[in-house]
Amino acid sequence: MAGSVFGGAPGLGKSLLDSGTDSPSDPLNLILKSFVPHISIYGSPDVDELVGEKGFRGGLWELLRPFGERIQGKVTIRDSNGAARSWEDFAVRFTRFGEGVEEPSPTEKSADAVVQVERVVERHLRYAEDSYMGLEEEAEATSPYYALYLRRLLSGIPLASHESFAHPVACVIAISSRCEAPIEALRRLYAETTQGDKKLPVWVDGEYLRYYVLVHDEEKSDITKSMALFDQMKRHFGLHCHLLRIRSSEAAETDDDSIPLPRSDWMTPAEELADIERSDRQEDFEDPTRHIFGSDATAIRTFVREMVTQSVIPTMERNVSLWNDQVASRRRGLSGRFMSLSKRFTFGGSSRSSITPGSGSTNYDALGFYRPETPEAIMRRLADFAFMLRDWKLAMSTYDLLRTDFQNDKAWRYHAAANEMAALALLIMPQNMSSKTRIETINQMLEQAFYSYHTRCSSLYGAIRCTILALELLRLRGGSGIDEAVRWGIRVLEARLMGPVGDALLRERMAICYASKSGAGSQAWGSRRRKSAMWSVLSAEAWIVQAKYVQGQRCLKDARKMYALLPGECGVQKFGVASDFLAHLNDQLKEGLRVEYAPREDESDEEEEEPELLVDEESETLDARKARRTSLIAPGAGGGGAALETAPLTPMKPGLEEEKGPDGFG
Amino acid sequence: MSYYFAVIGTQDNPLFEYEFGTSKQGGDGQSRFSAETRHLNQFILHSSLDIVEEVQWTTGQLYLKAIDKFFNNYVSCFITGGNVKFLLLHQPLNTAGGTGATRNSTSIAANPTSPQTEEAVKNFFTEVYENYVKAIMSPFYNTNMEIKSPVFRARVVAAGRKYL
Repeated sequence: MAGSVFGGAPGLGKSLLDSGTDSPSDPLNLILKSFVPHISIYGSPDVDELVGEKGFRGGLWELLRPFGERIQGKVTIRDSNGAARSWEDFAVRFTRFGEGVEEPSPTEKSADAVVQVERVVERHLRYAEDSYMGLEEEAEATSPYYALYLRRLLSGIPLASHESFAHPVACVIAISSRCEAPIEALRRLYAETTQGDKKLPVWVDGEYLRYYVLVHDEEKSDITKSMALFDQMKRHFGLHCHLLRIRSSEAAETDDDSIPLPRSDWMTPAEELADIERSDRQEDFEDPTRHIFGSDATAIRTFVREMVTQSVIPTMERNVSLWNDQVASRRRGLSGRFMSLSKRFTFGGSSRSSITPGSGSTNYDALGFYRPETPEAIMRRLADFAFMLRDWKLAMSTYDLLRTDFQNDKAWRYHAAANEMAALALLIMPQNMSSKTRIETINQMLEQAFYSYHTRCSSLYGAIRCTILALELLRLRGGSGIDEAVRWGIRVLEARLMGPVGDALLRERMAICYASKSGAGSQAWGSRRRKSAMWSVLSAEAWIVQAKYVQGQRCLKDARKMYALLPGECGVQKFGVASDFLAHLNDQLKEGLRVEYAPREDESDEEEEEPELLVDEESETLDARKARRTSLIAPGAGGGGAALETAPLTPMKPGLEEEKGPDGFG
Repeated sequence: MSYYFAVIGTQDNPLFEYEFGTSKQGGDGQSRFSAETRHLNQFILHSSLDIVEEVQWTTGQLYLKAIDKFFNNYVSCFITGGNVKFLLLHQPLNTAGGTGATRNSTSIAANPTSPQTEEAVKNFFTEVYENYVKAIMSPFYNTNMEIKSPVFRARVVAAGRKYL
């Protein structure tokens, strides 16, 4: 099919980020916030005890986690050419040390991940159905359920061997001021992270940054002692230290200085499911939101910002330039190309020096992964760091180099991951070639990634992730990218990679893709309104089959709106079978909605939870009626769009609990 | 090897619809659309009008060849001077549903994008076009009216049997 005649080439020479995406649930933002530096947290038992007194049973990680999701203020990053750029929306991810490890040859674990995501989104949808109030919805923004789906899909990037995004860039080693022998404790913690059975697998590079934190208990410990200890730490461990002063008592809601801790946006689906199940099982509801003191929040925010801007990012930049000089630039020159050729003809060298890259193939064959010292592993880390630091050109060129390497070594997981990231980097970065050739290159990369993930490795998670992310970015590129995006979406649907919820969400997405294509001229030639309407109808059908009538109604409304935009008469009304089908869908919807609506007539003036989902977050914080279990936003804690994307579980007035009884909570 | 042929007027309204199957190689001329997806045919054709509107300005030909693909369905188009579109949706059945036509994989029905198919579809369209012109020359026919002439229908059926 010919490429679009009227589709321009928007973004020629512009990076996708420049075109401006302000909504936090926009897929591009989600992508940028998920491929971020992962920082592990490893605290001593006394730190966990201190934090436990504040009400956080998960340790220091639980306290710090929401603050990593948006670093306060601007973050300046220097790319490989030395040019500095500042970003407003930098984020990191705090993880528990050693969590989420995926062995190099997993069997069906990736399918579990997708199934869990489906279940989470399905639960949210079910609650939405149950709490349907017959209200109108504004459907301009990205559907919150789709954003939720993407978020959960991207939130638990496993600590795998074939991609190093989840490998910790830094490790926070924390002790508290209550510790008896602090320096000793720090040494012990360090040793535990590097040797012993808690350490990370052998394919993770052990040379990440160690950041030492002394958590000072404001209320019980002596500040002069802590300062002295902190100076000692600085002398021993260098500049990567911080003194974090927090209060050890639990903040209650009634304290005047307390603010609610925002729910983390980036929970893994397993965690969220456990959360939901736990709260379902509880008889009397206790508000799960924690509160912390405003001073604590400020201290933590400052700590995170300082750590990221003064330690983590400079370390990453240093590593990038080091690895670039040592390994990658050798490969890029003319001699580099001959090196990869000669590698194929050398027989299993045991030499692992960085000069002769003859070690890769032997290492991979024997062990199923690349050791962290091999050039391939170093280059992969380099590429991932560059991606996290938003240096798209460097990332893309490194991934490109890696693609051929992995293909020659037949390291299929690595090959798939490298192709996927190369395509994504290529889509984001400013491009000078015409959209035609670029799309061909991207298609080729995606094809290889999809084939490797799906057929060679049977990695459902990988296959879904690479196509969905590429689809989103292609859509943002516009023009003929939109047709390509839909083509990939149809691939996913045909291959039946996703469950029913994902299927329906994807169909909605196809409709939105087509709707975003604007045509030229007075008749909007080149637009895809009829196609968009058709996909809306298909998605409505998919929702109705699963008894999600609220969603189905929304899709049908979208379809009608789209048909009304056409210059001709009402869309498919003249086609007999088609309009019968639409009428049939409508009847089914009315049927489904009426059944649910009947018992709820007494609360017809309930709060508008549905439109609130998409309303700007500021107004939600002013809402005095605190709906139970809605996602919370702390004003000023920089939650940044947190509530929008995690849909409320049961938006009901606390006063009506008794009436609701068992059926209220699904 | 099922076909769904429609003539669409200038207001997205269907002037003529006809569903049939292949008559070649032992086919009985009956369409084999599955009951669950049959209603989609009209949606697919209607939505491919978007592509028609885009592609029609790029070429001076009346026959636009295969312009769209939706899962397993291919849509070809022929546009007349009066902006009336002939759309043909063909769905090759790759299951064991066909009586034997699927055995020969180079047949027209199984290969919707091969040059032979394009040629066959072109001939089909041309013959329908001639009959269409005759039908609309009737003084009782106004623009965008449905074509109810039984002779036209018979001619279309015959063309389908002959070429597809």
